[in-house]
Amino acid sequence: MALRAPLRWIRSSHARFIGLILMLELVFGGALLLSVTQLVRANLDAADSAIAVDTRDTLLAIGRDEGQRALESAVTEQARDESDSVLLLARADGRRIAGNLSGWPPVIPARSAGIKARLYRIGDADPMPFAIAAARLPDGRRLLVGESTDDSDQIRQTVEGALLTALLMALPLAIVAAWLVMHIIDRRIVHIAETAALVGAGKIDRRVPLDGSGDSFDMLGRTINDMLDRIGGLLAELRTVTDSIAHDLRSPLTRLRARIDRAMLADNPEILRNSIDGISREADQLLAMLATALAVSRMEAGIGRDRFTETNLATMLADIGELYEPLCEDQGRSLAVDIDGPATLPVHRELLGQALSNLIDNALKYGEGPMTLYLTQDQNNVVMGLKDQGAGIAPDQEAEAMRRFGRLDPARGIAGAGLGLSLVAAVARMHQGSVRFMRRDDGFAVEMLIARKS
Amino acid sequence: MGRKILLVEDDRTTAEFILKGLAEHGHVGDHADNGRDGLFMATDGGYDAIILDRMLPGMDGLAVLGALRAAGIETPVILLSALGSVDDRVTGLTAGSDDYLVKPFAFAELLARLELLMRRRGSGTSVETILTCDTLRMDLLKRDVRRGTRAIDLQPREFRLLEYLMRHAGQVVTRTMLLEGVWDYHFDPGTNVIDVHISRLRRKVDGEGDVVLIQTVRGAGYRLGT
Repeated sequence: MALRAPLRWIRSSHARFIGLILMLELVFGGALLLSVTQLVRANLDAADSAIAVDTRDTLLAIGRDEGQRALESAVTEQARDESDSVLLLARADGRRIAGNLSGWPPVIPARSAGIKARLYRIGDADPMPFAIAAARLPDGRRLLVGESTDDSDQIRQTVEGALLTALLMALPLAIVAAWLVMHIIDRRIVHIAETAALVGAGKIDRRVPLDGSGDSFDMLGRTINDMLDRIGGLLAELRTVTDSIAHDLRSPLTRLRARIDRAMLADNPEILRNSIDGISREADQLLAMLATALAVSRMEAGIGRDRFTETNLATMLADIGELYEPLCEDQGRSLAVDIDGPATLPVHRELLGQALSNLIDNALKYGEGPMTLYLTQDQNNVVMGLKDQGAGIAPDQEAEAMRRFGRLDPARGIAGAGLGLSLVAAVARMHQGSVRFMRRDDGFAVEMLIARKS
Repeated sequence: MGRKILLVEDDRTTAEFILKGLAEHGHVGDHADNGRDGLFMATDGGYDAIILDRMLPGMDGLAVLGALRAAGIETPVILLSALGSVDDRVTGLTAGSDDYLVKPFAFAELLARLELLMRRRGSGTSVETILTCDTLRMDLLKRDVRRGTRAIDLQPREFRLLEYLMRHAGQVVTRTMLLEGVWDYHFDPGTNVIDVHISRLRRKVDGEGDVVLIQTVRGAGYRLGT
């Protein structure tokens, strides 16, 4: 998408990024300029003052050691020779004795060092800046020495000018640098955006190219790829589910259709009633199949994990056993419950209950002999299983048994919507667990392993 | 005794099926075929109960429910839904419905639950410690059950089963209601698990020569009473 409108461009992260870099550049450059000029100025001023103080002290020493005449002539001489100095020997009232100032400037105190002032020298049209040192002689006369700061000021201006130029030249450089950085970021983002667009357009197997650097773009790309893998998996799952539902619903629907046809032709109420009973049973079975398929799909999509509650599995197993025990007994079987210690885990109570109920139901329909609902545990897993003395599921039929609506008796003599083991497996997976089949000499068991820590 | 019941359901066939059933059992059913009309009628209609479909044109069933409850209307509501999972049921109940029924359902199930809801509203919340039905008497504190003078020895679960039946004496209770009320499970046990429990209880409660108290209601469930 092109950002043509200027307002939108200003809001864009490009503009913000470049603005930020410019601002930082200005702040840092300004601070640098300010601190360097301050430093240069302080150093030059100190040097000028030191020269003035030195000259003053030398003259004072001449006055002390060689007498007033020598001082006067030294001042006169220096005033003549030194073009960038100011010198004045004055009476106590400030009138000139010797030097290149016409009188004591009122702004200068009698005793001072390091003062800056602009003074008119005799014969100069314009005032010049000086660093001044002054002193009072023992006899009351006064001495003023000034060192021109003109050179220093020029140096300072040069330095400031150079810095400012550098700063101004850095600004376009900063913009170019910011633009380059944005460009590099853009290039990496564009790959991700292109991949997402392609996937969105239906090319579901496209992935973000990774460079393995592990930087944040690489990480983003990898996360997006993981997400795309998940979406791809879900889509494949959806396709399988749709296909298998269509496949598995066809035969009961065909049977339903046949029964309806027969009912329509029935000429006696007895046959009609029987047909309608059969139709009703087929419809119930279809509904049960759909409910199971729906439940499994939802579990596999991860829906319902938020309904996990801490549940005492020992109590739960005992409850389920107690619920089914009379039914088993009525069918000439027995159901015992064998629990190894207490176990409390966060589980989806309803779905786990449904899974256990499916296991019992299967054993009732297809198994033999006494049944035991048991719970064992170790450090890592809680195992809930159901064993009986039947032959169980043959190893080569395990996959079919776990399939949605999978049924092992081709004749479909016993009513039911498949084994319901696909639901058991989905429930186990939802709890980060698995289902396994155990064959022993004395029978067969289906076990759900649930990890203690998910 | 006829009750006034509001049905909010957009599917014409389902609506006719429910309204006909309600009329057959002496209730007056009003019908709204979208959420907005349903909410409007519920707000000032003075209904004894509302049957509310979850997916409606105009205004979603849960939204209607939310608006009703927000307006302080406490008419009991049964949500009907084609979303059959346990999680949806919990969502429905936490959203303020009193019960939740998954489509497709038997009309007997709906009626039993509806009458249970309306009864619950009617009766106060007085704490009963002794339940009676005909010659059957249950002392909840002493956990003592007698049929006439004959003491009946019940397992804990049988006791709870009978208690549930006695608390709803005269009403039809369905198998799923029993599974929910006595075992606290909402899944579908598929086979006739509950029937076996009932027939065991019946053998203990209805002895030889007694009037049969635990009645089987064909196509629906059970009813305690003569």
